Amino acid sequence: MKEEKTTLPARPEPEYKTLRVFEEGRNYKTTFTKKFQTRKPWVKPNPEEIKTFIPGSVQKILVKTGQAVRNGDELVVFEAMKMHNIIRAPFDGKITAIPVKTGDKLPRGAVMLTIKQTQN
Amino acid sequence: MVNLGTKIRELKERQEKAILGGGEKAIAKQIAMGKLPVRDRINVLLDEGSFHEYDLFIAHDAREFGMDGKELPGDGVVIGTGTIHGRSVAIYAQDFTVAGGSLGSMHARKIVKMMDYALRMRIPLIGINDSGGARIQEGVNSLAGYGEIFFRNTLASGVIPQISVILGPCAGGAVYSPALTDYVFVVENISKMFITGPEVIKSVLGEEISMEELGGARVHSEITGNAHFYALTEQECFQQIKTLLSYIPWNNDKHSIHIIEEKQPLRKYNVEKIVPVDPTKPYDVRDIIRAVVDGSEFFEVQEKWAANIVTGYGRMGGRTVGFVANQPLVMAGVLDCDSSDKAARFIRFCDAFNIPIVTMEDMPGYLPGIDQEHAGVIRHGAKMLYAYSEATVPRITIILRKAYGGGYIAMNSRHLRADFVFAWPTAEIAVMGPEGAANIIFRKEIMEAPDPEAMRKQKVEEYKEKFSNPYVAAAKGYIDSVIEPKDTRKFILHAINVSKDKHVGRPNKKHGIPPF
Repeated sequence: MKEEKTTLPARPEPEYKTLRVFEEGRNYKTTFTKKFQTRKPWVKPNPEEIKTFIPGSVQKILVKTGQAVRNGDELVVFEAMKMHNIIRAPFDGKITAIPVKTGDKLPRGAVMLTIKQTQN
Repeated sequence: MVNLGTKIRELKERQEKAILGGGEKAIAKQIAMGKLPVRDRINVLLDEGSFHEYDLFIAHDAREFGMDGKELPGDGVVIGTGTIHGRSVAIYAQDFTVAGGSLGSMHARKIVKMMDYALRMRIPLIGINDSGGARIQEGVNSLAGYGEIFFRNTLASGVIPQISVILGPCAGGAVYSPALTDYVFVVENISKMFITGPEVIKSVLGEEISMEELGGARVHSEITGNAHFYALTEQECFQQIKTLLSYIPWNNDKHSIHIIEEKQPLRKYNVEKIVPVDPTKPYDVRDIIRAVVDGSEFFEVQEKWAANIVTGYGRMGGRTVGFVANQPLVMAGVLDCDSSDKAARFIRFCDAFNIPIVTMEDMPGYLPGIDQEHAGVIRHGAKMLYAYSEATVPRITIILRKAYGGGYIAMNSRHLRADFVFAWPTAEIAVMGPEGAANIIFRKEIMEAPDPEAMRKQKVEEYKEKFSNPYVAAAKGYIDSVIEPKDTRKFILHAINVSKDKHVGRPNKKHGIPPF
């Protein structure tokens, strides 16, 4: 009678990491998912930076650096997904920088302008 | 001599003591945080004087860790029934002044009692959450309590409306009861919801964030989509709950539908003036909804999250209708992961509670992007198709302008068994926008032309002429009528009336498998 093999085929040792899930808890030896390893750290949003929310191109800039704007004023016409989206001021303030120009193609999350909020 | 008067005095003394909860100091602290004391919350929310409390004298039975002999009035939760708009509701409200509103086994048993009652009586359940979480001293008994609640949330889902109001912390496992309910209400500076708090995140991952930025009211109404209604104060929040309950039925029985007197929309909402004919110009689709609903009153659900799709309630002919509409004002009205999730869930609520659905369509397609693809837009997008296809309530679609590609199919098309599809003359129903289509179909002609740019323009115009209209789809019967914008209300009202006794069959099954 032939003897059955009981050992599993050799596999490379996984690259173990340490994970702790409670503040004062134990450390667990484990492997990480790819998504967990490549996650981006959270960045505190800066409301004074007006960013693109979708990829597209700058069609028209309606304000100038140094200009005072009021909440709801039109700042930029931003063409994206076949639509002329109107970007408005989220609060009263003064335009401090416009790092883009008409015709620029921008990815999502690019800064179109910065506004210094007026302190009330 | 013992007489009735003495007995009543004793009862009153006991009641007064129990109603004080964690005591005057703790109540003052609650008020200082901008929070109402627990019974005030209930009394403001319910019709005046309608609240009847149960289990006031409940006592916990924990013996370990110094709990023996410790009095926790009501065990940190108030339960009872009352009325809103004169109709009965069941309610429970956690009392933060008693052991931080922590959930022990008797606390959970009280909540469960109200849940069983609400389900048996087929009345809405409202839960006010304000709790530090599990009562650690009660160990697994506390966890068992949560489990009993979650199970009942699931059992009651689709039978009675379940409303969660987050008026304090709601952290760890406790968040799963609200997550399983139909509508979650949050209040600025007061609501905090998360699975693991900022301290744990800092110690484990080294990432720093405040409680408000991690799981405050704004975050859940704008970023996570866990909340449906956002208010600045508790009073405003209670008003929102009452408004919601004026629209939705009390249970999933067809007879529970509440019909009120019909009102005409306000004249200032003129459909012909709202939508620009140029498909690249944005407008607020909510104005179109206001132009067709009774009294121009539209109550939006999840206003700030995934605002590229609008969901909410209005009335037509006095009867509640659910609206799903692409919003050209936000992100050009594209479909994406979040907007598909948002619409799918809303459609399912409407279907479960016999609310007809009107879909307003004006969208250029799905949002292109690596982040969208990697976030699983295929799976998320499928939820909306699933929800529409499965819904058996009357379903009506109005195509206002753009209806391109996969989005055209997804937005309650004829092919997913819409009952009525109407299109405005401005509708463009095609496999993609004219620019993209012409570039593909006439690639060779454009490339070989002496002036490719002129040829491209000419071919785009040709394509527009031929396909960027509602008549190709109308010729196939995919849309029922091309209508004048001003007749939109008339057509919807008629379609809803025609579908009043709609009856459709579905294959027998235990349940389907939606792409969760």
